[in-house]
Amino acid sequence: MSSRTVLLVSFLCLAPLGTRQSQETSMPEHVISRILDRGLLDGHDTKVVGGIGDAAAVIGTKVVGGRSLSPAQIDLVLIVLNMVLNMAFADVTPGPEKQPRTTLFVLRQLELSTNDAQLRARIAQTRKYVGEEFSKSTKPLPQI
Amino acid sequence: MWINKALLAVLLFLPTSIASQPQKTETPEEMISRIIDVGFLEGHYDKVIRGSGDAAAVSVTKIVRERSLSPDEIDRVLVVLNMAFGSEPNGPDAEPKTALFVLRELNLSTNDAQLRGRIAQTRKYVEEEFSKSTKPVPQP
Repeated sequence: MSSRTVLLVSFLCLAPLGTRQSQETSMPEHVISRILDRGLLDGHDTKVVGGIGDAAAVIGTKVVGGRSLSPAQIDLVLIVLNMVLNMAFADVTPGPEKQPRTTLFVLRQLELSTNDAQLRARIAQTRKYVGEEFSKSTKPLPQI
Repeated sequence: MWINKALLAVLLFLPTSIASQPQKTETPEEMISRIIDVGFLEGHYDKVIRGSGDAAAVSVTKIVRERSLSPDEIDRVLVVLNMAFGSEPNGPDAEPKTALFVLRELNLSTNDAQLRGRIAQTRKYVEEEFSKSTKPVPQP
């Protein structure tokens, strides 16, 4: 009986801790920070970061701060932006975060940070993609 | 006589119609946009922007987007950041994170040595103000 009580008490004490921990690790800030700092991508990152739109770029500016980015890190920023915007523009819910404003600011800094032609081409591709997805999302739906 | 009546009617009608008009107040982002784009700075902008910290830097990214800024516009962004980090900002936006990102971009987009000097000064100021805000207040 007492061991059952101990188990129950342990469960009740540990359950909130577990919930808090999983919430912390699945915050968009933590996900973007992990991807940019350690290059680690998780299977459910798209679910966490997807749909937050331009907010992802704002988080990116906070994670990077005043640091200089290596070509590998620029690549990772592009991966994050592509992944996030892919999801963000897939749903048609209107909102201020749909418009890629900080995203374009970030892309410009990436462009200014590198002379690598291939990397610049990837940045240009991302910019084109972002612009196209945003203009698609602002077009009225065809009437049936 | 009818003129007096008409004037009275206008006077009675005007205050109510003015009061019923929604008052358009500028958002901090609109104020920052006017400072950067037009070079217009009203007295009360300082009250709103001062101490707002990194939130002002986020607004700067949303206003500037992918534009190349002129030296004058860069100077105005520096004015906004100096204002935003003045008076020891507090709260989650006290730490200059996006601000440092913005300052790095400004530095990359100019070769003017004097302007780069002012960008470096702003970076130093912003970091000093943040470190002041994190120091414990001395006990009396």
